[in-house]
Order: sequence, then structure tokens, then C-alpha cells
Amino acid sequence: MVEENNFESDLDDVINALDEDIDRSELKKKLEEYLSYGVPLDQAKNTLIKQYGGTLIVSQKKNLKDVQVNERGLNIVCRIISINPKEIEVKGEKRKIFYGFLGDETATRTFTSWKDFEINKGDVIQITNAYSREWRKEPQINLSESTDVTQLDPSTIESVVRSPATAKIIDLRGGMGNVEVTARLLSLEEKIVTARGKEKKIYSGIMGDTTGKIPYTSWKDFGLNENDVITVTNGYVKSWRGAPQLVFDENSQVEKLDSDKLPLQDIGTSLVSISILIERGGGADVMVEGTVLEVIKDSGLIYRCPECNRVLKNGMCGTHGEVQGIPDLRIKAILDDGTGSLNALFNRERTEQILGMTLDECKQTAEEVMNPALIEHKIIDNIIARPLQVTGDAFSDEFGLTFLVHTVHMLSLDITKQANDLLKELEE
Amino acid sequence: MMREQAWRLFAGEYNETTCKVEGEGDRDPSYVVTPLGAKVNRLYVVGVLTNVEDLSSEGEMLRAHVSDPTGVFVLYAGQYQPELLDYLAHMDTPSYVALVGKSRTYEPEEGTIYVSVRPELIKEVDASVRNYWILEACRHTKKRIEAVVEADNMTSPSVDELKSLGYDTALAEGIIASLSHYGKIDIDSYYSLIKEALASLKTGDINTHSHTQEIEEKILGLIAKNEGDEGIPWEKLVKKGIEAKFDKEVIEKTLESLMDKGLIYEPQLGRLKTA
Repeated sequence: MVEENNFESDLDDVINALDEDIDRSELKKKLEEYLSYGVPLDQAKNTLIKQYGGTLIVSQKKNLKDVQVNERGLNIVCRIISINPKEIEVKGEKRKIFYGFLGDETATRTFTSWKDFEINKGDVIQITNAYSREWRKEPQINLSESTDVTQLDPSTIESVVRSPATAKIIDLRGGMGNVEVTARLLSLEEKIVTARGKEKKIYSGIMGDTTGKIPYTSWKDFGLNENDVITVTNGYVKSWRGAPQLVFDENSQVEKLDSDKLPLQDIGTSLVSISILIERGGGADVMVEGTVLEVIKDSGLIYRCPECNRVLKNGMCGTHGEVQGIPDLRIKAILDDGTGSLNALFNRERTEQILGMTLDECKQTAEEVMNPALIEHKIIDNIIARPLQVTGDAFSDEFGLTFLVHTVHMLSLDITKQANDLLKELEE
Repeated sequence: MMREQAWRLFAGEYNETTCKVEGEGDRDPSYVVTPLGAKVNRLYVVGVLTNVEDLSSEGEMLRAHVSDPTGVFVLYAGQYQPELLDYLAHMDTPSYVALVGKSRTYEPEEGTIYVSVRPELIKEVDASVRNYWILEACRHTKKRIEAVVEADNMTSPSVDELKSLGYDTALAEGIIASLSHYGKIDIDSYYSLIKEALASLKTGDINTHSHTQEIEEKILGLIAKNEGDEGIPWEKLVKKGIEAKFDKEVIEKTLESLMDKGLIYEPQLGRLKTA
């Protein structure tokens, strides 16, 4: 038979696992009934939890990196990296809680303990029946009254993963904190800015790894040089015009790695779907493939104000009135890959490439027929329904993504090989 | 507001759609959700413009058909699109066209929904653009099939769980809406759809959908052989077709197509006869 003592803590387990408050004596009665029929204790507990709507008690040990937000019945073996006491007030009552970091071979997480388990920094412990919450977009381990802690031999865990969140550049999103990134500095420039009334030197540029590139800003002099390969720990990600940007400062660590790591040729401009780009809010030097579905008005041969560079409407500048316009070429087009769409902006060089005509030739042709719209029609003929591959920088606002095209490349329409490959794949 | 993406999908999937999602606010877009979870407000098709007909005397309403290897998109263009109407009215048929359009629905009675397309842009293109689109539509269709399979394997499928597998929000939402509306999806028929489309690429020619044509000829033969004077009952023909190793759905589609072409007719309800 089950001892009275254990039985109470089993009831605690069940109650903790339930989404709603259920009367303890009712649960006790049911549990006793199952046990009297010889149902094993674990099964009886899980049956009750299922009946009253809760999350089943997980009894297998979990690696920290697999722990998600809002899990219950967690069973973890970990090392306490740091632990600090803290006084808090809960419903008018003072309580002492503990917080810090714990880690295993797979990850490091923050934790909060609502009870004094007499654990110290460096202890290796087995935690049974903990739960997880979300804290700063990461799962946090919580130890409650119903959690059990057992001390283990410290050699159980040899090394703990130090980094809180190692990220690839493609996965960085504005708002992320405490990230660790390894990348090569592709460019670097010094700037003097005024922050809080003081002049400060900052270092910024573009860094890249095998998944992509990202602008960065360092608020501290880490003695960086162009082409250094570095690991930044405890950096954070800001959004600039919607697109992610990595920032590091005096709270961050920068470690220089061997310069033959992450060779330049491995730092590519990776192909992304437009939906991912929309979700990221943009990106530096990214590549997308899509089809042009619309050419937006004021594409083609345009005239700009010599004072402010704005595009003239009927020979007039909104600010400077009637001026002698400077001719230019550009295309604004909707590029769509079936997952999302963006506004692609092609400058004069790219437009000349698409048209196969120089600006002067465009001017001449338009003057001959006295119709500047002719160039726009030519553009429409050349690129609507045309699959393109473009690279460039993407930014976003409430109206969507804007993509400044650096390179454009017409995709080959000969798809015989790809079609055969796909057919083979389907027949397997 | 963000521009809606243009889904790549075949008529064979689009025309099966019976699920509509209305936007909540005045300015929120409405969608149709296909059986494979494409949540379509806008779509992009490259196919063959087979005919354009005038539905009004003044030419202010046109109906057109754009055919792909799996079926036919029905287009309605109205008076608010004068340039497009004019362009469409003067197009040669058949010709290859690229079409961007919005999804539209027509509900003649409660519970019956027909989908069509209101074109935003039509442009004549060449065969290579069409072939590229077929490959693209195959890839996107395959991705949606895989997403449906993933969702089917989940104990409680959710948008978040699909997103965590790497599917984007629009598709994840579409898949969940599709599951609750259509229930179990016949995955295999959509795999055959892709194969049929790919096969059409190999032949390269637009006007002979050899595979479809072959089935049509065989079914037509079956009817001719068994019709007698009064025609063969529908069910009996379907049974014979299944005996001849055709899918029930394929048979029914073929019958519809033969009927549309005027090659067979119903002398009385439920009986089929060759014309």
C-alpha cells in the first residue's frame, strides 16, 4: 500500500498539473478508488489529470534545450551556475525567493525557486516536478513547493553550455536579448556620436555568417578590425527601419577567433522566402526569387529636381516649383514569390540592365515619339511575369517591405531538369 | 496595409474550394481557403486563355477561361476595369497568359459555393513562362500537401505548431481552417494532380493534355459500348470505370468534361449517352 505521506505529495502533483482548481478531497477519493483497484500510482495520477483536463506529468529527464515555455512536471539534471536570494512581496506577505542560472550539456536557462532548497552555486542537482514559464522570450525553470531537489555527484555534469542563446544571423529578430553570435566583420567604420550629451566613438558595419549578413554597432572599443572573426556574447538585437541590427556594448563580451574560421567564401547571400523577410522586418544583402506582378506608376524615365532630388510631377517640384529636371531611370515593382510580396526599387544602372538601353538612349527614344511613358511600357513588357533573382537590402514599415535592388538576374526558364527531379522525388 | 501575396495553385485545387473567410472589419480582406490550406485573396496563374465571351451587349462584363494542366479558371471582368476589359476582348485565343487576380465566390444557394477570379492584370506570355509557372505551382502544391500531412499527424494541430515546423503564418492559418472545414483531405488525388502537371511539361504541347485525353477517350468508349438506346445509368458507368482501373473522382471529372464538350449528354436524368 501507499504510505499516507507520499500520497499527499502525489495529490499535489495532480493538482499542480490541472488547469482548473478541483476539490482536493474529491481528487483524493478518486485516486484511492483507482489504487484500490490495483491501478499503478503513476497511471492513476495521469488518468486523473486527463479526466480533469491538465498536462500529463512527464517523468522522463529532459535536456534543457528541449524545455519549452509552460511545461509542467519537468525532470531535469543540471548544475547551478549562479544563485541569488531575493525578497519579494506576494499578497502583502514578504517571501524569500532565489533566482539565477542553471545549465546542462545542452543549454543554460534562468530559474526561480519559490522555496529554499538549500542549493549553492556549483551544485549538481536532480530537479523533479518543476515547471517552466516565459521570461524575456525564453523558457525559465521554476521550482515550487511541490518540486523535489536531490543533490547529485558534481561529476554527473562535466561541462555546462555557457552561452544563453547561440544564434545564426538569419534567426536574429529585433527585440532579442542576450544572444551569442559568431561572425566575420565584413566592413568596419568608426563614427563619433553624441549620446546623453557626451561624445562617443562607435564602431559599425556589416557582419556575416553562413546564413546571412547583419549590420552591427559596437558601443565599446573591442579593438576590432575588418575581417576579424568574432564571437559576441550577450549582444542584443534592435530594429532599424524594421530590419534587425546587432548591438553590443560594455555588458557584452567579444572573443576573437582564428581568422581561418568562417572563410569569406562561405559567407553567402542566402536565398530567403519573402514571408521570412517580412517576418524578420528586412535584412542586409539578402537574396529573393520572385516574379514581377506589377510595375508601379512613375517607373521608367523620370525627371528629378536639381535642388532636392525629388521626382517632378508635370515638370514641377513640390517644393521648388518649375525647375529644369535632371533625367533619371528607375523601376518600382511588386515582386512576389507566392509566400509574400515586396516593393522592389531598381536604380538607374539596374533599370538600364533590364531595358538593355542606357539613359541617353531612353531619352532619345522617348523624345523621338514624344512620349516618356514609352519607357514605362517597355519596362512592363520586359519584366511583368518574369521570374527574377535579386539581391539587396530590405526594410519595412506598416506598408510592407521595401527592397533596394543591388543585383538583378533573370532566372532561366528552362526547367526541364527541375521538373524531372521533382517527378522523380514524387515517385519515390 | 500589407499587400496580399499571390498564391501559386492549380485550377484542380482552386475549383474544389468551398470555404470562405470574410474579413472582420470593412477594410479587412476576404479569403477563400482551398482544401490544401491556401488562404487565397490573390492568385497568380499562367495558363492558356481558351475563350472570352461577352456577357452583356455593351461588352462591360466579360467571362473568360484560363486552362492549366489540371483544370480551368473562370474569370469575370467587369465595367470598373475598362483597360483590362479592352485588352482581354482583343486577345487571341488560344494564347498563353499570365494572370494576377483576386479570388471571388458565387453562392447560388446556401451551402453551394463556386469560386472564380477577378483579374487585376493579364499579359500575354510565351510557353517558357507557362512552364516555369507549372513547376512553381507544383512545388507550392507539394509544400501544402506536406503541411496537411504534418497537421494530420498532430494530436491537436495548431497554427503555432505548424509555424514551429517552418511554415509561414498564412499557410499555417490556412491549413488549420482547411482541416476544420474539409475534414480529411484526399492527399493522393493532389499528388496525382502534381504528377499530371509535370507530365504535361514533358509533352511540352499545350493543346494535347495527352493523359487526360486518353482517359476521356476510354471513358467515351465505355459509354458507347454500353449505352444501348436509353443510355447507361450513371452509377453503372462509374462501376464499369472502376473495373477498368480508373479512380471514381477521375471518372466523375471526365464525365463533367465530356459533358462540357458536348460529347455526351443525359437523355434522362442519371443516364449517359454519346452525342
